[in-house]
Amino acid sequence: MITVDPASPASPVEQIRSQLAAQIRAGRLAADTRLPPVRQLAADLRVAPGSVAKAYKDLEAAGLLRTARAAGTRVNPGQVTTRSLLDAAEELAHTAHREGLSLAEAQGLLAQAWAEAESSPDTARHH
Amino acid sequence: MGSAFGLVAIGAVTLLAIALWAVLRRALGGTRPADQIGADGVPSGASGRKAVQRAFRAEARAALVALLVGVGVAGLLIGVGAGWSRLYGLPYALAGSVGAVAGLVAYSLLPRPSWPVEGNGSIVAELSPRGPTSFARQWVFVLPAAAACALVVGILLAGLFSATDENGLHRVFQRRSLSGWSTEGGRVVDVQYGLSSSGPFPGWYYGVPVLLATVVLVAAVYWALFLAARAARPASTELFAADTALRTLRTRFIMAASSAALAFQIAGLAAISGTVLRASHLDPVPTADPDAVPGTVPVEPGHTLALALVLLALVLAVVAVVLLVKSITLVGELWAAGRATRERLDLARAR
Repeated sequence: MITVDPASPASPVEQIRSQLAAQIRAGRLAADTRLPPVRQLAADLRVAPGSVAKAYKDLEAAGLLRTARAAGTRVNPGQVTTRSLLDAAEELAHTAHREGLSLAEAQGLLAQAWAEAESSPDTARHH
Repeated sequence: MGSAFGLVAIGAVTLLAIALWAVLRRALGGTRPADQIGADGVPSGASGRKAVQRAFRAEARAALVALLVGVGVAGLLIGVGAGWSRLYGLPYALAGSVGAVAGLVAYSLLPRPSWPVEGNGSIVAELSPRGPTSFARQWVFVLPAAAACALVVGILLAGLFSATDENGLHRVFQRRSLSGWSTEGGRVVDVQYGLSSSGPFPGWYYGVPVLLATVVLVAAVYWALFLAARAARPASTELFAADTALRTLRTRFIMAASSAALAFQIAGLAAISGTVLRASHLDPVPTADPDAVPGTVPVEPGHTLALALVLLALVLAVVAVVLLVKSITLVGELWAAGRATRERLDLARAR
């Protein structure tokens, strides 16, 4: 499933792109899974076909998808992230939900932790 | 006398088809898509129920119009065939497929209401592709496709074995046959053979237009199925079950109506070919008795093939009527599903 919220500040392209990328990285969309054609997904989400095409193109550029004329758009293999990272993301979501935080607030916390991790010498070594 | 026999035969085939349909329905059982809506597909909100009711009613109307257009066009062609003898029955051969194409075009072009989108609410979509074959079991598509392929092969074979009539039209079957003999001293001598023609036979004169009409019918079926699958899903998951039931009924209607036309067309061609081949593969046996009526002997394998074709025609005629009855019941099912939603809506309002 994929959701587009017309009231969201994020553009439909960004919403489609981010949700598809998250589902591929979480392994919910398995390798070689065929995605719906651009026109079908655009009609279902009530967005312009160009928006879905742009989201697919961005994901292709990021190496998450591939498109062939006959085979359609499919998920590339080897894109699932590590189990520990998935567990950590689930843990963050559950804890934030339990403590009554909204998605935006949880994302804000993650962004803060991200900035700190980037500036710490320990993380820099891993990079 | 002949027309009375024809009417009795049509009545018998129809009764047999209805009985067969009732038995098959009882034997196969299963949940009908309309029942599925009753079980878990009716949305809790009044606007959702109204949308479901509107969608099913529009679908039932479109299916009814398609049936009327299809049967009307087929009837018109049969009328043209009866009134215009210079066409040598070509409109009869085309009635099934041209009627089905007209019905499918009307069915696909009739407007349907789109699913509502709540104000600023989120819109949900599935990530699985939908195609023309997504809403029915594979055999629903495979059997008619195989029948269409068999029809094409049959037409090509009949075309190759056909001969021209006195107007140069490829519409007769020609073979060597016994034309006469003499007797001398109580023995048969001087047996003569000649060429005899029987018709109408589905040669190139009928075959090429039927071939083109079949290709157009297959394209029209694919287009109608494609439109049924690709129409936008509802914006909320609450309406997905009703939408799936609607698309399933739509796919079944398209396949039942088009398969009925195809079966009707193949049955007609098989009946005509069988009758002509049977008559052509009975040779008189020369006899020395000048007063005796000569008996006949079947020429094999043509005679057996002819009987098999006549039998196939009878079976396919029953199948065609079963499928036509099925498509009529689907219109009723669509209408019933819309009415059931309406009753639940009234019940909810009364509370």
